[in-house]
Amino acid sequence: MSLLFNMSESPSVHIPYPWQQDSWQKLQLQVVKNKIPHALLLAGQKGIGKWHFAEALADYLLCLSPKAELACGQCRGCQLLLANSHPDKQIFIPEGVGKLLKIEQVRQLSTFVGKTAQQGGRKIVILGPVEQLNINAANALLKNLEEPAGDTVLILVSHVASAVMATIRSRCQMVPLLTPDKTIATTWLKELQIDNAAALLHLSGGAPLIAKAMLEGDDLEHLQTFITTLLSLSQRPPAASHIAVAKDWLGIGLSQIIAWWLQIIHGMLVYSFNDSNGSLKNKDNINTTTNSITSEMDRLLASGYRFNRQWLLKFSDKLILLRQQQLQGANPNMPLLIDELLLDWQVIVGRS
Amino acid sequence: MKFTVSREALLAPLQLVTGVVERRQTLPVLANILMVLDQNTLSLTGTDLEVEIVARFSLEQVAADVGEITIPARKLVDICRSLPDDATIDFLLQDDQKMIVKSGRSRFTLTTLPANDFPSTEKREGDIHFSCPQFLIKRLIDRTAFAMAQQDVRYYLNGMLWEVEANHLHCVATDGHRLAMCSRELDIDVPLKVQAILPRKGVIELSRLLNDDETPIKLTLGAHHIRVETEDYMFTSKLVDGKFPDYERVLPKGGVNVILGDRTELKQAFARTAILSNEKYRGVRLNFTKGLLNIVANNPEQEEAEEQVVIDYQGDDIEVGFNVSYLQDVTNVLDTEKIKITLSDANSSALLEEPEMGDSVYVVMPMRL
Repeated sequence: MSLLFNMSESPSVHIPYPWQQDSWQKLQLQVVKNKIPHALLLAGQKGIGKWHFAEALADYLLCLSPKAELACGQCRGCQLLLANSHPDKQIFIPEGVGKLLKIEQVRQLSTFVGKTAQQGGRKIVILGPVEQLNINAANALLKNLEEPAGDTVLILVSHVASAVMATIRSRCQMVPLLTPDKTIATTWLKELQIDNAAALLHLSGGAPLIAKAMLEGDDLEHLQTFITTLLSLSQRPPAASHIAVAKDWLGIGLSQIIAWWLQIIHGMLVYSFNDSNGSLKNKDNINTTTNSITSEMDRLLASGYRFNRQWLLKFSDKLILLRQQQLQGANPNMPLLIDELLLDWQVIVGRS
Repeated sequence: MKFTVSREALLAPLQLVTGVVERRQTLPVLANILMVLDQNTLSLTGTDLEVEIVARFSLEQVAADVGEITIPARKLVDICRSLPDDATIDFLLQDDQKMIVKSGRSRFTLTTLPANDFPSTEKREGDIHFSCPQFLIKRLIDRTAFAMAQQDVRYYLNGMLWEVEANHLHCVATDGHRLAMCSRELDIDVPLKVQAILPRKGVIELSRLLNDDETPIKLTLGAHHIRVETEDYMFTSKLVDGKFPDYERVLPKGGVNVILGDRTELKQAFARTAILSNEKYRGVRLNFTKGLLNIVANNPEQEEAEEQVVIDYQGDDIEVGFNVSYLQDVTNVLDTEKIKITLSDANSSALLEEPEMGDSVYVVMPMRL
């Protein structure tokens, strides 16, 4: 979260990432033809630069003399954008990690949209993650999405588009942003002087921004803990007791645990299908064992073929439900919840 | 940038401009005012993105070095206020970074932000220009502002409609339950009717700025802004981006029951009965009979207030319920001796106005009691 929603500190306008070129050209053409819809929903996996894309689009829409498919960076509009003080662009994000977007924020949005643009051009709103709107706020947003006043473009951003209220989704034009192609993402990471780019990308489920962020925070250590524990639990007899494990996990944070676990289960399923159907075999994954976590992760994924797929899917459903509750502001007892999840996991691992 | 100014000359325009700067703001640069020095004219700009005020005044001495910069508004006001009355203040911008403020033995160094970061409105050519004495605009606002809606979801009601047609300016405000309208003749030359909705905040700020005198002001109405200019300041407000409902349809026509009453008496009677009306709905029952008005209010505690007012009325008996606050607002804002109420029947809205030659009309919807 912290990475995705930090405003770019660089003193230039936002330029879409290399893997976003196709989507960018499509939208940019719509703008040129003056066919840009009043509400867009940018949807895609976390960590692939959706927010950056939204900012780039806002820059482009507010620039007075766009050049070569991008904002010029020189006009009055761009000056204000670069100073972060453009009066006709408003950003709405939750007020803290794990918080929801509140109705007061949507009311502010309505007031903003209801007035004419201060600089006399378009009005741009960037709001996200949409799945973190609380129910009242989401309902209040509907009216604005329906017919915003004047020349307004609302750019909504969502990591989990399926968790967004259907009535919101149906009022926006969906812009799916895909997980980047591995080679493009690896090249991009390498250009940032990141050595083990391929391995990091693999660990982060293909999301280049998460891969980049992993080097900065504790995420890599956390992931190490996470994978090692799951590995030790899948040995028979288990090498660690789940109670001891639960303590180690407390520092990681529930949403992160859920995200990784889903990623692992997904990977296991892909592996197990590949085994029965050789043509799908993903050699790429096995070749990137440049560091120990990657190899452990691969071992873990590979061990998945032993488990009952139905059980795995059921467990993934449970995690998705948990994530949903988390997005709606649930505040469960962490130790108990982790305990419960680990017990479930032991059943899956043991029974198969 | 380097100039000298007396505290006396600086303080008034500075306070005027700082008035719109909000204490809490989302963008750091909004806590600042923009200072532009051009030969011997100093202009100060403050904004909260919705309204903007630019104050201009001439310096006694020609400045040595022109330029533009933004500096913290409140701190500068506090500094100027606390200096002695007859102080002169020296401003010096150092390396485009720090503003040095010196006066006598005091010396302050203020942080700055570049002038380019400041979201000031560009001076664009508006569609309509006209000028008129200040008191006219002040009257139009005072007569109607109370009826504006407050935080209504119908955002176009949270403001005041200015409708310009040939030689007329109409101001209309409504919250859906009552409507106020005031029209004045002005020297305006427009081929077509033009409408603009001033947001609530802009209306309130503007009315604070205007005086009750003959000083002329220049008004500019554009697609995005309204601008009001005097010799000392320039006020700019955003507009509401929407369409105002067709108010002409709401004005009741052909009411046959015309009531004339003493305004002060009615005002006092309404104020007394209001005490025992329902605190939430504020309903009172008005019973018009020949020559007499009976006002009755009840509250949920079964208490009752009853007032009788002598009126000039010859029609049939009518009983109508009204929100007493709306009636009070109208009787407060009018200043004639008598007030004229026109009703067609018990279920349709009432038209309140001055008995003759008035410039304002008020419509109040009845309520079922």
